[in-house]
Amino acid sequence: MTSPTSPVLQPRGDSGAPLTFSTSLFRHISPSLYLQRHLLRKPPTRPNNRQPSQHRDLTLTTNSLGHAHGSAVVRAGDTAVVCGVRGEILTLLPGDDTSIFESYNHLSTSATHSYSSRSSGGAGWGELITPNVEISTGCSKKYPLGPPGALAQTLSDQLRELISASKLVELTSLRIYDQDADREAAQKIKGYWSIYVDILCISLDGNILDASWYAIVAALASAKLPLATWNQNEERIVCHKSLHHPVMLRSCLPFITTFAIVPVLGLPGNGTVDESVQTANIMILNDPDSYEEDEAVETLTILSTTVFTVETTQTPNVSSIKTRIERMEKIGGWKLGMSQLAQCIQLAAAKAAHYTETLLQEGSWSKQSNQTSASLRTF
Amino acid sequence: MAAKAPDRRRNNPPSHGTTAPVFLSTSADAPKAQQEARPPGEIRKIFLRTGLIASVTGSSFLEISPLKLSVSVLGPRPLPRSSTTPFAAQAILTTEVKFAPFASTVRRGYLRDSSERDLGSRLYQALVGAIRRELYPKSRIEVVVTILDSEDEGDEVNTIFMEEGKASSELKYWDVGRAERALGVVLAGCITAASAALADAGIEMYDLVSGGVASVFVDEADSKGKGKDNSVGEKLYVRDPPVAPPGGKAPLATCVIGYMAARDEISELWISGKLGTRNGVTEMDELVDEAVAAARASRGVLNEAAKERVKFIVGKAQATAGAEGKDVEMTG
Repeated sequence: MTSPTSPVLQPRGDSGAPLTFSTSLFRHISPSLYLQRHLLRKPPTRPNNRQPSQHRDLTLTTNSLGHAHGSAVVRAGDTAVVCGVRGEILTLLPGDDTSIFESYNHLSTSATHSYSSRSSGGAGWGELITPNVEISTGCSKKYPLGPPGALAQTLSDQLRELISASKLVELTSLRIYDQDADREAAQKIKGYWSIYVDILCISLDGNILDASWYAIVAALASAKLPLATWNQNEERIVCHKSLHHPVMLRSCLPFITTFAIVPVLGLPGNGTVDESVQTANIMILNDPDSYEEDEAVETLTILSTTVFTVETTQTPNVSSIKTRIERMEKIGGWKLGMSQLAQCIQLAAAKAAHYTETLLQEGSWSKQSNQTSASLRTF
Repeated sequence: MAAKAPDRRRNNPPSHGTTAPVFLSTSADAPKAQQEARPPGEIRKIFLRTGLIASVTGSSFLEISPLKLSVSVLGPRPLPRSSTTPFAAQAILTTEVKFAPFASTVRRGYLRDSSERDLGSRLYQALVGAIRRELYPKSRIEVVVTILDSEDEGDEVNTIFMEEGKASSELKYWDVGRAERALGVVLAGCITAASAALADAGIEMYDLVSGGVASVFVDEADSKGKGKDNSVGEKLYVRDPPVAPPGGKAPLATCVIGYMAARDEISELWISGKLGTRNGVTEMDELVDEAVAAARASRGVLNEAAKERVKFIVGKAQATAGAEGKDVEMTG
C-alpha cells in the first residue's frame, strides 16, 4: 500500500538516487509526518494498525492480589496498570464533624480544592477515597524514577476529581456503626472506611487515564471489606474475620474515554475519505498510544454514563440505550467542532459498552449483583 | 497510622488518620502451620516471562505462588551531561526495589523504607558482578523491581493484634527469622527476575544470576522428637521456605544467595540466624549447599524463559521480514 508521493521528502544525493530511510528509522526522525502518512491511507490506518475510531482491546483480571481488599489488572495494548483497593479504618473522635465525609460536594471544584488544601499543607485532605497513581515504576523510558512528576501528580488529582464528580462510591457502604441495640440513637456512626486506591502503572503506552479509571472501577466493584463494628468492650472498631460486604458503587457506572486530535495536512476535505472527518486537517484518534499522544494538539476526555440493557443469558450481551455526559474535559485548541464532538460521544458510549461487557465477563460485578439484582437490569 | 507530614505530591488520606483493620481473633481459628504438600527439597513453581513491557529495554514478570513482581530494565543510556557528572569507565548500575502499597498486610507508604533499601542494595550486589559493565562506559543501567504481592511476615501478626498483651513467648520464638525468610524469598525472586530482564534487555553478562533461598529448622523444644528423616542432628533443611515454619519446627537460620550456575560462583550471600559446627561439618556449608541447589532449580526456569524469548524474537523477525514491504512507503 503506497501513499501518494510527496515532493517534500526527497533528499537526493549527488547521484540523483533518492536517499531512502527504513520505516522504523523514519518513525523516529519525523514522527508527525510518519503519523500523517499513515492516516492518509485509504482507509485511514494508524501506525498501530487500528482505525482512527478503534480502541484497544481490554483485558481485565480482578482479585488476583492476596493482600488488597479488591484489585484489578487492566491491560489495553501495551498499557498495563494494577489497581489495589484497601480499606483502612478512620475512627471518629467525639465531637468530630461528619459533614466532610458525608458529602462529595465538600471539595467540589478544583479551584477551591487547590486553594484550601494546598495552602493548608496537603493535597486533598478530607475525603474517604484516596487515589494515587505511581508511574515511576520503570514503566516507560520517558519518566524518571523518584518522586511523582508532573504527570503522576496530574493523574492522581484528575482521578480524585473524577471519583468525586461522578460520586462513584455510595457512601453508605463506608459508614461504620455502633450496633448496640440499647442506645437511644439506634445506629450511631463511629467511623468510616477510608479507601486507598493505589494504581501502579506497570507498562505505559499512552492513555493511562482510561486504563486507570477502568481499573479503579473494576477493583472497587470486586472489593470486599470486612464487616466492621464498634466494640464496646475494647472501645474501638474491630472487624469480623469471616464476614464481608462489598463496596457499593452507584448503579449506573460511569466510564471515561479519551481521544487525541492530531493534525493531518493535505487531508481531502470533500467527503472522499471518511465522513467522520468533516473539517480537513485534523483526525480524531480514539484511545491514543503514547506515540500518538506526543503528536496530539488536543485531547478530549469524556466521562459518560450509558444506560444499558443487559440480556442475562449465558454470555452477557450489552446494548446501549442512551448516553449521558457527566463531565467533559478538552485540552488544546479550537479544531474540534460540534459534529465531531457528537461522534466522540457515540464512540464513548460504544467503549463504555465494551467496558461493561468485560466487567461482566470477569464476573466481579455479577457477584455483587446477587445482593442487588435490581440494579443489574438497567445499569 | 499514616498521619504524618502530608506528601504534597500525592493525594493524602483524611487528616484524622487511618488505622489498619483490627480483627478479633478467637483462639479457635488460628491456622498457623498450614502444611504444604511440598517436600523440603523442592522449590515452588516459578512463572517467569520476559519482554512484557514494550516501552523499556528489558522486562520480566515473576510469580512464585503469592509473590508477584515485575522488573524493568532501563538503559544502558547515557549519563546526564553535566559538569558534576564524573567520568564513568564502567556502566553505573542502580537497583530499586519497591513494594506496592497493597503488597503486604500492613499498607506501605510510597516512600522507600529501610527494608526496601536493604533489598535494593542486596540486589545490586548480586547483579553488579555479573554484568560486563566495562562494555558500557559513560552510561547507566537501571533495574527497577516492583513487588505487587508478597507473602510477608505480618500475615498472622495483624490478626492476633487484639491479644498482643498476652502473646506468649512461644509465639515470639516462632517469629524469629520470620522477616528474614519473607525477605529472603522476595530477594531470591528479585535476583532471578532481574537477571531475566537484563538478558531481555540484551545487556552482556558473564552469566545469568539465579536466586536461591534455604532455611534450616530444628525440632521445637525437643518435645516432639520426630526428626527421623534428618541425618545430622535432627536438622531440617527447607529450600524456598514458606514464611510459616513447618509444624513443630523452629527456625535456626536462613540463607539467600545469588548464584551463577555456569561459573559456579556466588555473587551474593546473606545468612541470618544461628549456625554452628556439629559432627565436623559446618552447618553453614550445608545451608549454602541447599541454597545453591535451590538456585540451580530456579536457573532452569531462567534458562527456559530466555529460550522462549529468543524463539519469540526470531519468530517475529521472520514473520515481519515478509511483511516489511507492505508498510507505508516513506521515501519520495
